[in-house]
Amino acid sequence: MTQPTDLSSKSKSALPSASESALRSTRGSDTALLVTAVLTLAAWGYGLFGVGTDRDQGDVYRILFVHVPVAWCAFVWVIAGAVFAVRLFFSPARAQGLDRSSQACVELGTLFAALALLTGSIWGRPTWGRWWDWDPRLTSTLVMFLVTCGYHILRSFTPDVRARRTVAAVVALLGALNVPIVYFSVNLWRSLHQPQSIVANQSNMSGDIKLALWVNVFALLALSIALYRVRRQSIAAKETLEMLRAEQGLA
Amino acid sequence: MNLGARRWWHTFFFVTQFSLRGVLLRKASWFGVLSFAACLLILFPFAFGTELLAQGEVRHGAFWAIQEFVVALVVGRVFQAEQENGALEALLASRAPRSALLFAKTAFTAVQLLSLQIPLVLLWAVFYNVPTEGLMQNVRFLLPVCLLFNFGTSALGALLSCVVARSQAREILLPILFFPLQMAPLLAAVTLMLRNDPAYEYVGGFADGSWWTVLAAYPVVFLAVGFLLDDVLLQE
Repeated sequence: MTQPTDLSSKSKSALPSASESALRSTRGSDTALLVTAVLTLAAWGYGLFGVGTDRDQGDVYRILFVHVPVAWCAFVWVIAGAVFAVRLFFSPARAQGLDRSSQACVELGTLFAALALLTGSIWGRPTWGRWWDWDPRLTSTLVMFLVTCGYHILRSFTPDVRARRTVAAVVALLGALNVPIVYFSVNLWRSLHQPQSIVANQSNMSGDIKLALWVNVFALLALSIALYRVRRQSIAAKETLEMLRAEQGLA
Repeated sequence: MNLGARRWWHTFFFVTQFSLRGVLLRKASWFGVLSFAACLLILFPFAFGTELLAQGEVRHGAFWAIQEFVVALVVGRVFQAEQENGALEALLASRAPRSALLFAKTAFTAVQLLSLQIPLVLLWAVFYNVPTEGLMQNVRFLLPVCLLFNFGTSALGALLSCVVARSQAREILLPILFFPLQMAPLLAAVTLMLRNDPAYEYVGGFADGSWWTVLAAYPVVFLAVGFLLDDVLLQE
């Protein structure tokens, strides 16, 4: 169990008003989560029933309406975690808040990376005939996922709060270094994985499929932002509780 | 040369000398790692079946897999001697540039890995019946590959050793963080060796240049990260 060493002398006196605003904020986050979840389900429904069958892959391709947005969300949140980590180095006064934000981002990045691997496997089995291939895109995504898992393990094994923020920020940066490698792997190496679906000034999919894809991308991104807010609040609440318990333990 | 640069190089050579003296005083650790690697060299044929060693990719793959075990042991002990005798705290409390400490440890670890790889190559050539035709060509090619591999691995290892220094269960944490990030230079080293082996016909999709780029980029990238974050990584 971690022992936070940052003690706020104002924490107890500020608690009543802080708890009211936290409660309002939590309700708002829950509402946003519900709305975006419904939107995402609607987007999936559109992908399942609103778009025609693919000429080559049949109905199997529909998993891509989940797989591609999930993969993009993984990239976005891993990079966001690194952005907060870099800001942490330049703004030590705001380290606590930035660390919490970075942690929430990397958690989402880990979740979406795992889902990308899973949905990719589900698509790969009927299409490539196997659950897994040591393809550059898949392998580099797996590496990115493992680094984000290492981030969480490192956090749980580092008891000192300040040290934990610093080392976690370094690993978040290292994790983000993988993102351009994953994204450009299909261009850099001869890959079994298909090339990027959406490339500037090019069109390699029909209009209705592209529309369904973008709808799913935005819906899932909105859902992930709502998840981020909920998770960020949860992390802040947990750390505040630990600080208060530590204060009471010392008193 | 200005005072800052002189201090940097002085620290660099001091730490390198200090580390070398530490290894020479405790030769048992060097011999221990070499013995461990030799045991693995013998173990792999039993795992794969000795007939399979005739295949080039198994020979080269086993060599580099054993390198990974050696690297894990050596990288796990980058700062151990200094931590045990209190020298690290003294170095950090002094005005010695942190980046010089990190660079010195990276360079020394790379050379230490090379010192272990030289006898290991000889044992590998003997136990794995590496064909004599092209053996010297293999070995000549192996040197630059090993040097770049060692520097990239050491830079990454030194960085991650600093990251896990204040964590519990370091012996578990370091491999978890190290191995995923280290896969690229490993793949590059194996592929380059296979392509260069005249006894083996390698059919692969990527040009040599791309693998050399990976090997060269690793020390540059991770030394740069270490240089930028040296104050953060090496705190008292």
